[in-house]
Amino acid sequence: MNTKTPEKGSLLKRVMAFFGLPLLFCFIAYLIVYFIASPIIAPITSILSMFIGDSKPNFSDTQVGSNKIEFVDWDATQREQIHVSEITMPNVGDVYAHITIPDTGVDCDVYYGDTKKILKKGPGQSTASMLPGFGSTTLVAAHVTTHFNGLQNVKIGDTIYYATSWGAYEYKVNDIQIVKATEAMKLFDLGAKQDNLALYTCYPFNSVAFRSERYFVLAEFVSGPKINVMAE
Amino acid sequence: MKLYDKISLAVVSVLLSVFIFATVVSCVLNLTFCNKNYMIAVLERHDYYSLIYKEYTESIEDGIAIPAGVEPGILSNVVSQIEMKNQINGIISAAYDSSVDNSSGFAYEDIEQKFYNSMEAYFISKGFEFNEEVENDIKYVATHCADECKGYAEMPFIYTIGDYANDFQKVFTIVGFIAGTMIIFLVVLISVTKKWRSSALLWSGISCMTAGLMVVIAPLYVLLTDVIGRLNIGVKSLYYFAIGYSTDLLYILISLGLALIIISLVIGFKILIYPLIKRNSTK
Repeated sequence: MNTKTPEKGSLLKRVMAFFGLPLLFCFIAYLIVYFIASPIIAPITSILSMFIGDSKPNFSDTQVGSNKIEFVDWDATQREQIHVSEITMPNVGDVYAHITIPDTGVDCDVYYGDTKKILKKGPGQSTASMLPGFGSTTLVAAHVTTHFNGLQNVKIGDTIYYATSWGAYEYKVNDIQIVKATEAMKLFDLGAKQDNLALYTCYPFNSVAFRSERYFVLAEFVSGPKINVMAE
Repeated sequence: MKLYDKISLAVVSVLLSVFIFATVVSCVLNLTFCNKNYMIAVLERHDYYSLIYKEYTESIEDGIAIPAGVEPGILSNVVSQIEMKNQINGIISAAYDSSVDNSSGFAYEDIEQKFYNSMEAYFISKGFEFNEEVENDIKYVATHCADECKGYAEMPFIYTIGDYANDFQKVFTIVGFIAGTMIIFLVVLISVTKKWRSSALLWSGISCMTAGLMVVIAPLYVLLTDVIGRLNIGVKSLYYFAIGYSTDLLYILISLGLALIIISLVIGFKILIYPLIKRNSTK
């Protein structure tokens, strides 16, 4: 015996339709947006993912450099191109690279970020500049009294080795300049369209008073994997 | 109702949902992202001014005063917290106003002169002999301090954000207008079409529920996965502002989405449940 009246059965169907159909329509609408807008959304999300780390940033003094990302072996075979999704993006305060300039005394880990706390520990890459391989300028600073004192020994034509976790990069020094601190921004282009490296520190090297100038070592890209940010 | 009519109504319902979604999102973004007052309100609500001022004074002391051998407070007290707040708000206003030059937002020369006057008074009080070298040093410190102050007052990418806000404001206004017009058109279409009229309220409720779910689900996913918390921002005050700004925006969207869902539930109750209750009570 059917205990449900036809009226209650019809009501149940309508209630289920009232809740079920919106879920179905919502899923369809998101699919439509995904397929139609993916050529626009995918590169944007890839670029945005560059600003998202693997964990929350830690602003504690003691934590700067506590997370060290493993660097590639210089002897290992490298691919010419890597997709951005394969890279472990560093958080501010992480040791993410190692820089070596032979016969100059510059041989140290590089941190991501250039806060005063970071620069106390070692060279720091400005987060307003791009990581190596991303097709633009990588800007790295350090104190003249410590890690970048060796920049005074660098000559044009010297090779700079920059190892990260996703690739080993080589740059060749093509310019060395001394400028007033207030005019330093004119020497490099954070919007440049090809990989290049800009290292700088205070100048004069052995002064004990105000250092009103900056010593720049500019280097062009020689080799290393390029990073692809487009949707796979 | 024939299957063809049901399918037609379903398609109209999906379109109505999409247009409601577009209207809500356009209006929200127009009133928040494209509105400088929203940004200033978020800064105030998340105590950004006092945090950035603390970082600025630490930076001036650690980075300039101590290396220069200047006593604590001489340089860091030149710009007060209220003045820093005014400079920040001035920069935001200039960034969002396409008719003014971006550099007009920060009173660079005034600030630089204040630092110069403070250093000059300090050197005089210490009995230093004024020569060209000392004057150059004071000028350098004043410029360096003014640059530092500007660096903290100017939020990264603020001018780019301002440009995008100005460009997108027009887009969101047009999208909102068109979507709003289409909502009215579709509602009228459902209401005047004879064979659809009887189900007009039900399908409008379904559209409302769909739009509500669309507005709620994506922001809720972003909130629950805590993607925003992993933003790679090195400045503490800026990090907490970015978190607060994004979270507030997501909460606004979720609230409006829930409002749409509640409206649809009210419609559903009125159409489906209330007649049954009324019928049972009259028996």
